[in-house]
Amino acid sequence: MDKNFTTEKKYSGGKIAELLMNKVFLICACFSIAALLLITLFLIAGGMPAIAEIGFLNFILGTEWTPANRNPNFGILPMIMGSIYTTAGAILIGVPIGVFTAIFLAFMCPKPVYNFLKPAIQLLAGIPSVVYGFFGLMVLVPIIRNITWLLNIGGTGEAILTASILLGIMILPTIIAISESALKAAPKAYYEGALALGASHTRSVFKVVVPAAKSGIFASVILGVGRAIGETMAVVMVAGNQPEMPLRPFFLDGLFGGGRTMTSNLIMEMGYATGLHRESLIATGVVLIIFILIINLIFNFINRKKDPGKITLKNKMRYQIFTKWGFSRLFDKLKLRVNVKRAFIRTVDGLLKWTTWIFAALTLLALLFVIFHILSNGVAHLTPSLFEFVSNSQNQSMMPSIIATLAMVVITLTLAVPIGVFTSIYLVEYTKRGSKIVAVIRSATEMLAGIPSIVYGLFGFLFFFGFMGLGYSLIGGALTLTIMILPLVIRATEEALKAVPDTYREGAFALGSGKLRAVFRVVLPSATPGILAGVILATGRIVGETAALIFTAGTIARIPEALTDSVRTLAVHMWVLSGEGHFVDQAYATAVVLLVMVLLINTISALIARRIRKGN
Amino acid sequence: MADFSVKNLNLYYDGVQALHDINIDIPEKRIVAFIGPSGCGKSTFLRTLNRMNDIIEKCKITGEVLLDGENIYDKKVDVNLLRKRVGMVFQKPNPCPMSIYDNVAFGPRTHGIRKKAELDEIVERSLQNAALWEETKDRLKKSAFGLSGGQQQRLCIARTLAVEPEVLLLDEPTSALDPISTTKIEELLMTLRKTYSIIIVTHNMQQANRISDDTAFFLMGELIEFNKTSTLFSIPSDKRTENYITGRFG
Repeated sequence: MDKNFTTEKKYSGGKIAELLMNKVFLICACFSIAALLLITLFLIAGGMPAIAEIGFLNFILGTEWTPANRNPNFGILPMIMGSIYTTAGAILIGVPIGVFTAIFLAFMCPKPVYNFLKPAIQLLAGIPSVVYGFFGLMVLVPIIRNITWLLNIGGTGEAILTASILLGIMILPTIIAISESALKAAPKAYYEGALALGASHTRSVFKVVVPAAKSGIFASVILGVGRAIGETMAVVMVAGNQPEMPLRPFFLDGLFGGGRTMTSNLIMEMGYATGLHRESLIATGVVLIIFILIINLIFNFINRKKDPGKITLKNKMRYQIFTKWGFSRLFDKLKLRVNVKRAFIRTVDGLLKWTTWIFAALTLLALLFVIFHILSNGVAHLTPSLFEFVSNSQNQSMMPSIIATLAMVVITLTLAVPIGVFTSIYLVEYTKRGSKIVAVIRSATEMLAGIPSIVYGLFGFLFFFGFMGLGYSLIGGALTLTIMILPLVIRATEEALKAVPDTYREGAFALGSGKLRAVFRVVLPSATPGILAGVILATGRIVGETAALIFTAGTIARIPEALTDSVRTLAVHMWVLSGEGHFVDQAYATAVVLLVMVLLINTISALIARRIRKGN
Repeated sequence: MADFSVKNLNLYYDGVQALHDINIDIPEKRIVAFIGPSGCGKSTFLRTLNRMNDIIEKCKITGEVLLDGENIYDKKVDVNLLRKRVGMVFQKPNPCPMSIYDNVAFGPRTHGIRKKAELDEIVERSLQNAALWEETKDRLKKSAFGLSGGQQQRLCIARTLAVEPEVLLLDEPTSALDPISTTKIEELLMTLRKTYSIIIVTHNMQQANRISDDTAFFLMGELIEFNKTSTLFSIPSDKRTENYITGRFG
């Protein structure tokens, strides 16, 4: 009887495919864990001998870094301090501007301004760090140098302060984005309650909403710290890089003196280091990762503690104190001074309001300045000769690098997109809620997302270049970048899959469709725009990446003919040009191309994302 | 043949019992209505009949559901083939994000029909059977989301018919629709009963009264009474049934 639904169809092709793909998804999902384990293993195995030989305390507390001496010293305290000082400086500069800009965006911003400012800040996030570094080198360094001369303390302008300013600009998008969503998530009731008591808009925002969103804002600062401490290219180009203890950081000579961070230490010396020197550099990478790990733990802790929308006891008390013993009550007691007090409050209101506007304007100004400076100095140098197919010392053509970049993008995406999408399919479609494996994969992905790109470069150098024997190669670079962008692809795909209504799945199942068919024919097509937006964003990361590629793909400016050829992507080309000092014009021209590429990519991604939001 | 025989069925969601010891024999080629207040388990029970509850986590079932004498919860059962035999239409129309044609052809394609001519024929026949052909024949390649709610629901019925099921399960198919669309669907069900066994969950007692041959009344996860519709609505044998149909609760 052909209508029988048991046994005879048990081993149909569909079933085998189903079982097979289930395994494929699982294997892809384990890729992140494997990558994280490999990174940990190789860094620890590479760095441990140095720490063992030098001694842990001597290593992290030693103040001498003299690897070239007859009796070399390997103390990385100068670099640790360098990282801490530049990061602290970046926070001092970036946090007030970022938080006020977020407040502006969330509460003060007229709609048309918002529609312009919000995407502009997203663009700020997309500018490659090597372009920031170049901007710092050409603009900030001379400014700081002039100031040092005016102050009569002397200096090159390459200083802790310069790096701090640059990093301060670079962490703005992170701080703004996260603070803004925290502010918007704060309960409307607080704000309305304050207004109902006669407090002004500004006062309600600053006294009630901002404190309520405090933990979200703090989380944004922590993420900013992570971004600043992991940044390499921009810092190495402007900080001076002297491996000495930064002098008195809170005095002028300290601020205007140079310093070296852990990340710069890696990028500057990894290429030629051998023996103990090399091992102690890897150990520097381990210390850097530990810093990042601590930062991520703090971030997770804050995020888990409460969501900003929740009315906690403390917030509730604050709210009650506010409503019960509001200003009016206070004023009643101080009848005489009411007018004075009101005038004072009005002044503070005004000051806060102006600060908000000014800081938001500063953010926009920073963005416009960077873009305008690059364009105005670069466009004129975009000569046809820069697009010839051969690049040599007479003609620094960027054509080989453009082709290498495209090849890098294609290969990396070919590897990362299937793995990432399959991982997400496994996480969203094939696991039960609260399952252990999901939690493990998710935290592995999160940790991968937090690792700075220089550490990926270091790992790629140890694993793909060395262990796998790929040397400087297109494929080595692509594999390194695959691991680096995987978290981005996974996260975007997960969000997109989760947004597909369950009714679609039910509909397919009720027609007798298997899981695999439901996923590929119904769920994935609906999730495609979301996945695409994530993939395009990842493309932007690949195009703008430098630190992870220098020691994996190398710097040879030739059109690649094989996967094992060393290549120089556009961002690396930019780094090489700006390092040599003779090719400033060409560097500007390259920066223009790089900037336009990345901005275009990010705009497309943002447009797709917006369309999805409207579609819903 | 397609008659269900359910024996001692219990169902638990995460340890909480949602269905208590259900015993029922559902004959074929009739319209059977499940009625009862919200949360009484009638939809849950409907979903056990084609194992849609499988996709809900922490859902545990004991007892037997026999379809033509075979237990559908047996390990050897291919659940996809079961669902091909026992089709389902949901409360809210849930066409997939594709064209009208592809929505109807999705099922047949799933079950291995590839020839264009054959698919064309199935799509046309299914849409005609669902009384939707005239309205859609000129826009088959357009997205299914362009249809009205009532049309979408008939599309979902057509889609289900396209896999040639023997039993149609409908979970409050008209509760999201306006009265005119509801009438159309009811008329459609009356014509379909000649070829299919139909089980419909409804909130609307008039609807049960209008279209069904038999009615089952559920309360708090128990089957209280199952009888000919005319009998159940005129001389209910259980006091609780009487209270419900006369509007004293629910």
